[in-house]
Amino acid sequence: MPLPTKEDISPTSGADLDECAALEHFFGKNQSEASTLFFENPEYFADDLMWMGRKAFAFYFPSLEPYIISKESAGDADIINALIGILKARLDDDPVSIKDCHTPVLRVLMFARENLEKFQVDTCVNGDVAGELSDLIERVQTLGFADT
Amino acid sequence: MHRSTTPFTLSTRGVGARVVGMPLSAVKSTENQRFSRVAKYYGYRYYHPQTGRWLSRDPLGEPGHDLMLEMLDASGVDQEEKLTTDNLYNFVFNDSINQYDINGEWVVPVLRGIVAIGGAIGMQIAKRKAKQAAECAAIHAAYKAAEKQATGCKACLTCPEYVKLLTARTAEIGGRALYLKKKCDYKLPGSIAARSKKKETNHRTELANKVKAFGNCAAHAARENCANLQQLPKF
Repeated sequence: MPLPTKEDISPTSGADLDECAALEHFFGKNQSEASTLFFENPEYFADDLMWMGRKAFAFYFPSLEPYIISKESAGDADIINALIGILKARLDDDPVSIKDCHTPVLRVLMFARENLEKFQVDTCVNGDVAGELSDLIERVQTLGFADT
Repeated sequence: MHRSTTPFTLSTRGVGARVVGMPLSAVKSTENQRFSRVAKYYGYRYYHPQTGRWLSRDPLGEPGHDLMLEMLDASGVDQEEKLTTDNLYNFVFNDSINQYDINGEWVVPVLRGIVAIGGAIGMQIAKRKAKQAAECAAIHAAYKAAEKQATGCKACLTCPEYVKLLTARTAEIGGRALYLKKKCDYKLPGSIAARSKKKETNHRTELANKVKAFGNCAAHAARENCANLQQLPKF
């Protein structure tokens, strides 16, 4: 799969500040390098997934999975909140962006729901995270994209 | 009685018509009397006629002035215009024949009919929009920088580490709240291009997550019995 272009990461050609930050962090990086970024500062770089273009999102989202399933993410409730926020925004604004990474999205969501205690999600602070994850899984499944 | 001045408002002897470039404030004699022999007060700052320069920077030029210059670069402004814009001390863009300053902040073209008035208003609006965009960009840069320092809060850190992380998170949340309060997604050209409403909704989601992150970090700190923890102000 070719690396995302500048336009793939920033559809406004760098005019939008959030896209610009994503461009600065991810442009020219392959999935393995992106994965290193997520281990380095997961929440900070995961925010970029909210703003980057559709193709770039499909390319870089799978790079978040190694961190989510690793021991490093134990106790990191913030990354679960970020994940929910990103995927909700994507599903509301641009569900097609989920199409090309349908399988890793479902895999990550299911892992998070089944391993919530690992992330030490305090429901008093974070609300009904399990319920939100279940809703997202259902929404992604009903999109009915077949991964190729 | 009219005073005679050089084009850059330096007073000269004699009586004559108002010289182009002479400020309205000079005609109205609103300048500070003690300072008026060497500098003229325009309302926002002092002007020094001998050198043809302001004694302080253009208040509209900061903060975010560098970003404004980048925007000018991107918009294809020629080098000469950029250089005059770049110097926050220069008077009426070094063109006192065709422009005058009304208060130390706004440069207005010498009126040549209603078209010039429209142009002046348009220029002021453009300058105001550039100022607002620059301010929003500065807020965005500041909260992103704070965010980078605020992440990584987990169990079993030391109390000084929690204090540092919570302080950075508070700064980030404050910046994000200010960004939303100022409706920056409706002022930044890039946000408008990326659809303001969508951007604002997603920024609100991010802010809500950052408030949760503060709560998670404060809970970790409380478990370590840390005292004098940062409280999250109400935004």
